[in-house]
Amino acid sequence: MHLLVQTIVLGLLTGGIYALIAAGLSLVFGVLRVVNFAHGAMAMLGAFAAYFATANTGVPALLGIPVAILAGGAVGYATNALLLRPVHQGKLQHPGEYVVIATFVLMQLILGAAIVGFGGTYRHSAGFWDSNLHISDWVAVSGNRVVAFVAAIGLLAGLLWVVYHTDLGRAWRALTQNRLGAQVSGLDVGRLSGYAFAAGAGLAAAGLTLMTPLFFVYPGSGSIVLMKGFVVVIVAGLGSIGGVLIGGLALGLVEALGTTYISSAYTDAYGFLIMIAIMMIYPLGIFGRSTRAL
Amino acid sequence: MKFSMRHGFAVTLLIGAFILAACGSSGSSTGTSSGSSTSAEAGAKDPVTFALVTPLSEPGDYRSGELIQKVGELWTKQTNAAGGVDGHKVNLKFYDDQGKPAVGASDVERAITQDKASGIFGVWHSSVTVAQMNVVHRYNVPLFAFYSWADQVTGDNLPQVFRIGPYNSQIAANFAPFIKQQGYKKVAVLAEDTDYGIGFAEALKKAVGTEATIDVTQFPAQSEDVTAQLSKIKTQNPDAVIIATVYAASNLAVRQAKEVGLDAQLIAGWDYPTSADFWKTVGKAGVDIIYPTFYDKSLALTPTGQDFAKAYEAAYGSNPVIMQYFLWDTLNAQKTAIEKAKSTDPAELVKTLPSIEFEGTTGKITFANEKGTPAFNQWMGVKQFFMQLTAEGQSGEDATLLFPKQ
Repeated sequence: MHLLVQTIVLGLLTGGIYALIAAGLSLVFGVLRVVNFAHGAMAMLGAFAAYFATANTGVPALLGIPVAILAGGAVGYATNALLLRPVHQGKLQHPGEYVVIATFVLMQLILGAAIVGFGGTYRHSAGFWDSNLHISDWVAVSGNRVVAFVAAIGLLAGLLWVVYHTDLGRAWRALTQNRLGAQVSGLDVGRLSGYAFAAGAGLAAAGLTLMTPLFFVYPGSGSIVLMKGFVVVIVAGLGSIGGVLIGGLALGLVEALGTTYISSAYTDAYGFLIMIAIMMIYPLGIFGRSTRAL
Repeated sequence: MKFSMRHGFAVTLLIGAFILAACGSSGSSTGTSSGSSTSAEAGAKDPVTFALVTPLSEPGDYRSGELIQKVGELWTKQTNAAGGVDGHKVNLKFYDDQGKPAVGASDVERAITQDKASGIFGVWHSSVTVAQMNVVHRYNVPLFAFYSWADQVTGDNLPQVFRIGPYNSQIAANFAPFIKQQGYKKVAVLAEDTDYGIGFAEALKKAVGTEATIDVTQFPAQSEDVTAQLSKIKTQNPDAVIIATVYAASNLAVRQAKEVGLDAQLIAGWDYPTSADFWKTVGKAGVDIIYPTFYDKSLALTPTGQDFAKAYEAAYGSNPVIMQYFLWDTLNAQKTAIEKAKSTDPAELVKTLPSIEFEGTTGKITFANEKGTPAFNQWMGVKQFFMQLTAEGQSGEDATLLFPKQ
């Protein structure tokens, strides 16, 4: 029983961070209807920015979060402005394919440049709360894991507030519902897409930064983010930001329970199995709709 | 001009190629020559190509790949400055296997067929090495392992495959008396799901026999979060936990064991606690960790080993780690074989290598020839020690020797 409780707690805490990372991917898909393969790489750059801003500088580790959001957001905004301009100009016959290929190449470039620039060393960020919390014999988790979860849920709540209670969010939702209609109404698609890309990459960077005291940051750390993010958004439904919270928590829980009670050798496989099962029952994801909406 | 998808993609690729070219060759699977410019001294004969196939990018263990690369560059520079190998200038070419068996095998194929490599060096992940063995067997070219620990590497008894370094069942056999000395009755092994991890766990079970209970918990090699596995191990109440992985979890598992309240003695599966990033990443969670290694202050380096250590420190500002000594020896093995055979023909070298004898960095190098066992084309001079780091930031030089007792 103790192991079950411990496993559930670990799964949920990890799932919260998965949800934050996936939210950015889902936002970009919802607004632009494209898949960003460089999502993880952008997150990695933001996490490195946070690391360099806080490591050995005396700056509190939590201030690394806004640094990561700004750095990741800047890379996301620049990517949209420079790489995706042809998409917004409507001059491509197959914009979806272009974005997949362009962001995939960008991911490889960022990864290669990061290996050369930052080296292969695993870097450990200063912790947010460097204590191991042992609640009787029932639960033993790191304080950093708890802070990461709380911050992730807070940021996710902030994103939902923006989406449902601000003009920017209304504009994003208008784009997801009827892109042409939104354009005719005077919405600047390129600018709104830029904001979505920036927000998506910024949140992913924040998510990865929250993980760095637990899992370290290194050039390849973005790849894991990308993989988990895809599983969550596909389970939740592409473009469903609200659904990614459920999807993220579910993925964390399934991975932890499967590892503990089925086989410890297939942690990553459980997520993919769930994803395949969900797709067979709900091809658009649990919260996906045929007419996409955030 | 209308901007088509084709144009956009081409521009992206061009930018990519430019950036990668500017950044250097790291992460590229294309071989690049690092031969030093000493051909005037060594250039009387045709150059000979040494292929260094190693992980230089994710998901491979590129931290170790960088250390391997340094040894290759230093050896080539020194050798060419001294006149090359039997008058042949050495061209060292790098290939990035990315820690992937398929990539590693195709790298070796390219090194042999396109670059006419006389030998394959620097191989690292056991799973990759096993895939590469079939290729060198087909082309009859020597391959030198040094830290690929799977028994199968030399256990398959391929005449082209040589190892100057330890192997799993040898290491496991040395674990058994250590476990007995420490009085551990219940040992958990957190093993990555690779030829190394699983092979080590199985060899340990066999070596320990009934002296102690060995429980194996596997995990995906690329995993970063092993808290669920460690929570499960905690319920088994082991006396010690051996962490057998070469990927990210090597350091992470140490931190995460403390996180889940695992009080058992932690033992690293290999000597990664002596790597430069161990303390930076693990912090006080690493205090009291035990690790097996093949180097201790009591191990006398030969003059060759001392020269290598001095040259390495002068070139890179730090002492080499033990696996780099073994790699140095593999390069010298090929040099010795070329000098003895008076040929750079790989087939001739395969014939010559089993009978060579030379002074290595830690002792005399010869190859055992016990057919049907891993002790085939295998150097048997490895000495194993168990060390403990007792204070945060402590280096391997200051670690406490636990076994064998002096």
